[in-house]
Amino acid sequence: MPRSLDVEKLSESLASLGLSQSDLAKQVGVSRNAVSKWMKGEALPRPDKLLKVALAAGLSYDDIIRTTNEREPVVAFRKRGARKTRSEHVQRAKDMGRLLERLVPFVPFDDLRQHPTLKSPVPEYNYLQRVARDVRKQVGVAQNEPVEFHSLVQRFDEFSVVLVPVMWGRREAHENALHIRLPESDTTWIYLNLDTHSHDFKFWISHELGHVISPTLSDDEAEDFADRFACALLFPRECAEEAYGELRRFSNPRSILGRLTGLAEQFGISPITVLEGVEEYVRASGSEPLSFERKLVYPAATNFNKQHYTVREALFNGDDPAAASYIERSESVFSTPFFDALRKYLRESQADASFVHAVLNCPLVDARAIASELG
Amino acid sequence: MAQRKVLLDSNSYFRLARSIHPLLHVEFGEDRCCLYVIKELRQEFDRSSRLQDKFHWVVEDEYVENRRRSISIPRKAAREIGITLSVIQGHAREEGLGVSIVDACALSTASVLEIEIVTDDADMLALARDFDIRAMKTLEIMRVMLECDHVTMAKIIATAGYWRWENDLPKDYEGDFRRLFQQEPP
Repeated sequence: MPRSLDVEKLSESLASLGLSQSDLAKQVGVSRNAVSKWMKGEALPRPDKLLKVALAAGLSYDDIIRTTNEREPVVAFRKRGARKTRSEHVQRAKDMGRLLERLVPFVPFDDLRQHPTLKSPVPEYNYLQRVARDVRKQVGVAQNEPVEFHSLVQRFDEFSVVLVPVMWGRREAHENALHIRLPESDTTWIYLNLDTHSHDFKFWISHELGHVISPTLSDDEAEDFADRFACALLFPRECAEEAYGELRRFSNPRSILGRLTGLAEQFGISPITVLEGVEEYVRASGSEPLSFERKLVYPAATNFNKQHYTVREALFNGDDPAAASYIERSESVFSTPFFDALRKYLRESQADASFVHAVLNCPLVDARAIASELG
Repeated sequence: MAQRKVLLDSNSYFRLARSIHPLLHVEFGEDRCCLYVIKELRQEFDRSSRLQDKFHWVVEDEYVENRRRSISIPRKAAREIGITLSVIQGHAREEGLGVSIVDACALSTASVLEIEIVTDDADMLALARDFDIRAMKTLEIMRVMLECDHVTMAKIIATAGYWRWENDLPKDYEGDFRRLFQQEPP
């Protein structure tokens, strides 16, 4: 990718340290002429010299080098709660994206056909209901039935999206899901944290599907669309309308909470999703809002989650899986070509557990076990 | 004579630690060669495993104890390691070289402290070349150990045999083994 020395920043830093170009040449061990060429933008220092320049000037790589790469991975986080996204999270995710590029030749993407996506997606209630109805029809689930996440998985495969099931922990993980788009290969990879409660997991997988079918949207508009699509898919208008009819008969917040969690149980979704479904319906239909303080639903949802398994616990009967079992279940439940691609890449490149560690962001010990299993 | 400090990357530690124990903080040879890992590697091993403990020995007390003391970093060097890490990672991105943050940290530490690093990873070796960092492979440090009778040839054969059993042979293993030990690899 095109890159150049940030001469202005380097000059400023050298000046503040009282270093001339001759001083820099001495410290780096090159001629003054070489430094002069760098400062005129006529040449870039070799890696070992660039390091010496950075150390002399006290500047990091990002300070001293300007890069213009429009083809770098595009990442989006589905964060846990109110976790803050820091620059190291973004950098780590982009680095993972760069490693994923190496697996692209080993994934059987359909390069002949492209699955149709939405023409002009808009985050508008009636439109979202139509889209959700269409998706339910495609996966064979009636409007008043719960959607199981297994039935959504196949849809990702049709869009040439690779799902990567990971186990990033329940509390320590920064994100529940990580979406990486690789412009270079025009592929999408979605990491899904299995250490997520099954109801939240279903919401996130639906949210990701929302992104996949609306690739023309970006930033906040895309997030809004995906959130509202997930809600429409998991608790559509028919269900929301019926729930509203029941809920408005209650005046006691505890009764409302009880019914919300009952519906959440029935549909295998969070009470928050049920409430959001009802609120969306109320806004769209112009009905009278429920007399219920929204903030009450959050502790109820936390308690609700505590009574249920995480996806990992459900998939592996509550045990820590062996590497072989983790790979086998990931492939069978999520139809993912990821591990097969990783297996082929490891064999062909002779890359080792370090690659697995970096591309899965998993503990080193687990990376060894996975590499050993795939080797 | 000052100690000859040598850093191990994550894979080299794994390949050696189980068979040659204690591996770290033990001097060998006339030049007082001594193996170390960086703090970040120790912390990485402390991350709780999500899978069944196939490599359970890593968390056994004697190995944890041996890793407890990592290489010491003077304050001035810590700042330089931070800058070096950013440059190595930036360069790796440009060149499409994939190394984990822990191993990039190990390379940066070796660069700033001007010590050798042991790695078998092709990308790590390429980065070491680009940044003029002295590097050797796991089999090469075993050769150093053999020359000063820190390990026996039988131990080397057993260790390498275990790698094969674990499906964990380093790149160019067979050629390197013949070159370094003048015999057929196990």
